[in-house]
Amino acid sequence: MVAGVLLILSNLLLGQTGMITYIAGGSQEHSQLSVIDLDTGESAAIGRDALDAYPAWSPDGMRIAYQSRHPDGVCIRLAYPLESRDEALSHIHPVNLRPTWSADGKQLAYVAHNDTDPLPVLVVYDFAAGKESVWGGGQQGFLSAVWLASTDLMKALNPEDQEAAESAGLFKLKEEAEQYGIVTAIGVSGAVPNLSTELFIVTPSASLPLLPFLVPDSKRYVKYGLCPDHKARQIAYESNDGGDRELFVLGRRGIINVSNHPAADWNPAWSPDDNWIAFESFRNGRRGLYRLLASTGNVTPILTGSTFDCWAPDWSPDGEWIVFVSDMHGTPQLFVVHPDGSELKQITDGEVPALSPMWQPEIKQSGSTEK
Amino acid sequence: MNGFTRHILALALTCWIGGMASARTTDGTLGLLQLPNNGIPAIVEMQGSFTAVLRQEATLSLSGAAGELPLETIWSQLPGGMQQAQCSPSSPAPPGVYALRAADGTGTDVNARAVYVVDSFPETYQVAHITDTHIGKTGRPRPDTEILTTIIETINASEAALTLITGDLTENGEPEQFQRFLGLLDLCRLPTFVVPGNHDRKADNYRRFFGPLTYYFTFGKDGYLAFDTKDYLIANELTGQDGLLHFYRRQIRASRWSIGFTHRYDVTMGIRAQITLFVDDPLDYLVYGHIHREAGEGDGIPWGSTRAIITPAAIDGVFRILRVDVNGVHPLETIDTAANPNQEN
Repeated sequence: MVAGVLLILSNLLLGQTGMITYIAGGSQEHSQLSVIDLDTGESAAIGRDALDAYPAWSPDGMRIAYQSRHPDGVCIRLAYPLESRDEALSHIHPVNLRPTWSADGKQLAYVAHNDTDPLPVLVVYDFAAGKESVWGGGQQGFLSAVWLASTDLMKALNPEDQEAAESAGLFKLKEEAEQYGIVTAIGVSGAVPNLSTELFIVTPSASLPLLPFLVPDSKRYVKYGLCPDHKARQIAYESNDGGDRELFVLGRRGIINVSNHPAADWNPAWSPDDNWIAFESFRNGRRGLYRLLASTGNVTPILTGSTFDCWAPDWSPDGEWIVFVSDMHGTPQLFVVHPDGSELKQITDGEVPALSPMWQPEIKQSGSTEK
Repeated sequence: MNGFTRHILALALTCWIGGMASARTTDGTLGLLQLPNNGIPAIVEMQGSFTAVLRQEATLSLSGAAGELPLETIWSQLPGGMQQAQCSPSSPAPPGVYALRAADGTGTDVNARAVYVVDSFPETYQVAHITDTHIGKTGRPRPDTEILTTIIETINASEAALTLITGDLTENGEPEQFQRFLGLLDLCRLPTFVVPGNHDRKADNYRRFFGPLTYYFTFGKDGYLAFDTKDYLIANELTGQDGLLHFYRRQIRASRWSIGFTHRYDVTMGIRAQITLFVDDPLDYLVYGHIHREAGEGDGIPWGSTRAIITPAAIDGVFRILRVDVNGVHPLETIDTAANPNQEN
């Protein structure tokens, strides 16, 4: 049990500046993009209160992309918390979900679908061109996507069967990745009634399931919870390979089961130095926070409880703190804690749940905020 | 339980419920006593114990046809300030239906039909499945209350041991509609387990009337898991339900049959929840409604082994009996109690 949790009204005690964005509400009627200012400890609702969800900071820390309902469906909006303004992107599809930024902040990827076909395609919005394009050659079934910050991992991807790789289009995809960048995505695979999910690599004109090049029976398993490290040299993901849900890391050394425990392990999040992975696990019964050293797989608990859950961890830019959601006091609220589990502090205390926290990156005044 | 015993119990219950008008708060919402209640009751054997959740500690007792039975309690605190009591009758409680009473010094709160005591759990039994009652819906050939009353009377005359009511209890989620639903619910002599539907989403009304949206219970060897099929558009993976689904799924892992019940299944619902319930540790069955018709081609769970059981809407006068035995859960033919079936949704 956790005792003596401190609610801090002034966050100066954290030694952090900047903001954390989150979703306030989370009900079927109200969910609003919000931020908490770590200098003052004050929270502000900056979204549309239109079932806002999935906030994502731009790499320069100036904008927050999020999904928000509008009369014709769901659009991606951009909030500028320092400028108190907010705008919507123009879309081809009526429903647009789960935005993710490219490493240079010049593109935004999200999944989108229309009303008649719920299988989403992967869409990339190019800010310089001011328009969207469908990636992956139009393949359907993408559930969520994350940009890779580099193509390093592609260089390491050298399957033994070069002929099969050539026929699958891997080499053409590598060339396109060098030119346009690359997205990794979780997508639906298989067919009803034996649906599955797969880890895909996606460029403008192609998408390929990644793991079958490395693990022949990869399609037996259902993957989720995708998270590349900050240099895109390794990808952490979940799979039920082994019987229960485990965390795996795909990198130059191949694929390693890094969490390996009979209880389920979910939602990996790399530390800023890419040495640690924070994640959720049920190894103590309820959903708790843990971290593992990626090089050894050594797991240590951050915070667990027998009567409450902790989830959605995200690291501070300096790796000194982890923000997360917990219902340890009833209504889910945001808390911060050091990665070793010390100095637990509650940072929101609203009447409605505070969910989906994401720590603002260090602000870079790059002048790349044009839409 | 044989037919004669059932009849006596039903008679006693009918007489006794009439005196339970003080149950809950004056507006029908849950008060001091949160759980169990007539939407999430406890079913225990004579020597068994159950868990109660209250806003604060109180003296608890069971009240039924057999009289007042004091409960021995072991208290613990829950997140959010709620108090949890592990409750055991000080002497064995005869089989029957009981109200749970709580006295805290300032008053008494009563949850009617909150605890059912059985002499044993059968290997083979029946479950009544009602869905989409839409209390408050107008423009029907018969009043909504009359339709549901007829269904409940039919269920009371059946051999069913419990009833699952899978959402869209109300048409608009208004408190007045929940109050009317509660009045009808208490006509049922069986334990009634409810979950919310998309029509019940108005403020926090469902939770105020019934409590948690996610829970599990066991009935003999079988495990039942109730959950809210949230709207995928608002990213249900942000909330805490996914963690509860995994935790509760593990609690009923050893069950003979694992049976989920919810308002609807949609392949675009939260993928985390689907992976938990249909992939990593698949439920044997998922019972739901929402579509206001019999299952057709394309309906069902596309992940593998979980079998879907879909029942048309009660507002159209229909419900279904499921037979549960050593070979599985078997949906029987839909029972049509309506004079004018096949109305629009």
